[in-house]
Amino acid sequence: MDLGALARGTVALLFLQSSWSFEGKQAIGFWLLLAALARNRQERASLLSRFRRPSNTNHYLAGFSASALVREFRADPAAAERIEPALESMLAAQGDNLFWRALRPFWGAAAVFAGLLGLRWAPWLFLAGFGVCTLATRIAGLFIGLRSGKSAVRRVADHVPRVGHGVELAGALLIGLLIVPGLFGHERLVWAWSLPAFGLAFVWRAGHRSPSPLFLLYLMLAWLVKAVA
Amino acid sequence: MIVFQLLAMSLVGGILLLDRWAVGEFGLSQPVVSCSLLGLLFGDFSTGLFVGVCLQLVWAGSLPLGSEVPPDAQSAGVVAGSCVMLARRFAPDFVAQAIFLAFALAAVASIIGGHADVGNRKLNRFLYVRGLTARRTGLLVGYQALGLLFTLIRGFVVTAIFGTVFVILMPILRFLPALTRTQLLAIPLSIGLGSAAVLFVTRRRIPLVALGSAVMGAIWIWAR
Repeated sequence: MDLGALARGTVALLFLQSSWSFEGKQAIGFWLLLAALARNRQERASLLSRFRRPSNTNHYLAGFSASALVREFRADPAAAERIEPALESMLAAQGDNLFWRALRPFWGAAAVFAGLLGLRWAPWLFLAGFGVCTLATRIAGLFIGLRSGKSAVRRVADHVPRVGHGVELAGALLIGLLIVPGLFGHERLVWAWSLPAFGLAFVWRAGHRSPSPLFLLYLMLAWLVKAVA
Repeated sequence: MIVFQLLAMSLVGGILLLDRWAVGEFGLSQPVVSCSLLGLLFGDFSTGLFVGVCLQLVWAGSLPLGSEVPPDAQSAGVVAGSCVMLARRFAPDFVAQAIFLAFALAAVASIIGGHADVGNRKLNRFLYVRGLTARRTGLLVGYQALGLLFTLIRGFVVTAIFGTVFVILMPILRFLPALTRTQLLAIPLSIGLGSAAVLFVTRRRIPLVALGSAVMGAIWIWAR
């Protein structure tokens, strides 16, 4: 295992989306990631010429797809070119569900819970939970992809939904824990305000609407209630 | 003096907002972290943490799935944190009112920030087109750096604009409602819990939610 390539790849992964555009998506970042994983100048040029097209996947899992692609490329460049879209789309959906739908909200809720309990390290809990987890995934992705190729990507794609499901179960429990201090732990009568807001936000979000107008509306209502009171 | 603080906050805001999607995405730009960091840097960690805890879950359900650009929760957090820190320094008698106004500006910033984000990504198109024909890796690194710069400028401008609006609105703080901290917490937290519940709570998981509530309720009653 080339540790230099691993280190360069990790840095390239951190900047994968720096020039994200609707046309090329993560293209430039992905090309630089491939260049970082190349063994020599010749391989770098060859990788860059073959994969010069738009690219998009979940960026936390991009290490798996890029390193697996480089490994397959070393064995059969034409085959590697064919499997690239499949590798990326496989990890895109799974990664988005795990990191955006499960892990980030979970650690966000955990930090809020810690904050409500008055723990001053609540923000660092979020960073330790989510930040460390995403960094470890990136490094592991590069390592495993370079070692095992596309078979590793398939195994990861099979495991990710199970992990996501576990986090969602823990998230449901956490929401239960948060409901008591979050909706009822206020001054007298404030819960009469919180409970309908909670229900309305649930229905509102279930309809895929942005919470911003609802938040503004509730602030205006609070102003009105305070003025009347 | 206020101009220097505003500029410093906008720069810190711009750097924090790089974490939205351009660098790392470790969560530094999430409200609970960014507001706490702003509080730490500008002298009131507790208030920063309070604002962050309030806002963290409001946009929890808005997800950047695929190529979708969701409302900008990160800008909302940075704007709210910056405004409250400005008020703490320049209108210390009206911090509660400032938090109320900061929440309103944060809601607007989440919408405007989302549009600015789309504009930023459209601007990056020219980097991609140039990158397609770049022969040297050094050139690609340059385009990446330019992309970073555009995102930094976007974050700086969004924070600076809302900070300036806040400074302009400072004289009206005395007319805003002076809500207690628990009242201030109740508004975003109840909406945030509703948003987060959409992600985790399904019909089959209601027993888990009930279990969590029962455990916490028992602890709460025992503690009282």
